[in-house]
Amino acid sequence: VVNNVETLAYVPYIFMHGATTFSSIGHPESPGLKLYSLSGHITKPGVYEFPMGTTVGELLQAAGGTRGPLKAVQIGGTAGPIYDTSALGYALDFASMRKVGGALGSGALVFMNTSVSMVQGLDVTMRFFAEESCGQCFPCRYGTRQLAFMAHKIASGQGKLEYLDFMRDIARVMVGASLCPFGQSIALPLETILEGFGDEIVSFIKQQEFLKEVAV
Amino acid sequence: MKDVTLKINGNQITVPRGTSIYMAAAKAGISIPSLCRHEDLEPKGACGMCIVQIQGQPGFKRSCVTPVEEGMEVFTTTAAIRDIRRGILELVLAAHVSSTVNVNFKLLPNGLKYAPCVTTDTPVIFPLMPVPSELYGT
Repeated sequence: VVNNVETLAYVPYIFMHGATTFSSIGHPESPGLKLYSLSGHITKPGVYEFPMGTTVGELLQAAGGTRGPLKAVQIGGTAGPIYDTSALGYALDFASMRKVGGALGSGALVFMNTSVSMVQGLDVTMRFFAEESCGQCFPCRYGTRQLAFMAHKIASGQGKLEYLDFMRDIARVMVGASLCPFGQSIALPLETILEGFGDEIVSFIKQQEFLKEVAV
Repeated sequence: MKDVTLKINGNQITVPRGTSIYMAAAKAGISIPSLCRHEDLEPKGACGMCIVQIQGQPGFKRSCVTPVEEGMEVFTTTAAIRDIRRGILELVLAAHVSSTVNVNFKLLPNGLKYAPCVTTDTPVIFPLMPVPSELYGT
């Protein structure tokens, strides 16, 4: 069943201009046009239509560039990975995104400047999953709650370094045993945040621990 | 009804088509751990404890909702399976140890205690204590 509005919207174009014309646009492995939803710290947020395979940097340019120095880009929605500025060169089509271990997902891109704390980013992302989990299966129901709880502890200055290992552990359990792709998809944002911005989170936790010691 | 022959942990077994891996294993005398299975209820695949690995298939499958197939080779206990069962059990204990504390303490060998816990709305940080291996599959 095809029920994606974006896909259906391209049907008239293909009928009028032919499949060859449509598939000559974009990346040979995933041809055609794509709607990209750009938001965050950019000059002109909005929905942009570009060929498949357009790079993150090209889209950013079309949106008037970043407001403030760019720190991170989340690709494919809240369940998508969060990359550092190396993502500017990534081509946005299904095949290329799979190759870099990500997913094009909804085509949503959130640009974050250096005012964004990745400790907050982790907290918000984990809370999103806990709220969206339907609760049918144990790994996702308990896993998302536990992850959101730990991320919030960290963000509120009560975190411990070992939580980061627990969080990786939970993500592994959820990838293995969640009943549907939702629970399995949490590993992508979690692991990319810890990989790309782990140092920032570690120093935040250490700083908070130090402040507590000094206060005593 | 046609029969299906498969291997579970190396043991060949023949069961009617449509049987779940969980029930086929039970018939072969192999016990797979489960928290949500009940004989009066339809299996829903909720707890994830009954996961197994199938030769040639990626990842893990819930044995309670996966029907047997001809020639299938199933493994009910591997290091990876035990690791995930441990993880699920720890998550459940971390969230419910206050409301089910008596039940859990009965299950555990003497001397093992879980840290005091709050409610399901504010789960405790885990692992509180390593979960005894007997509880997540042999």
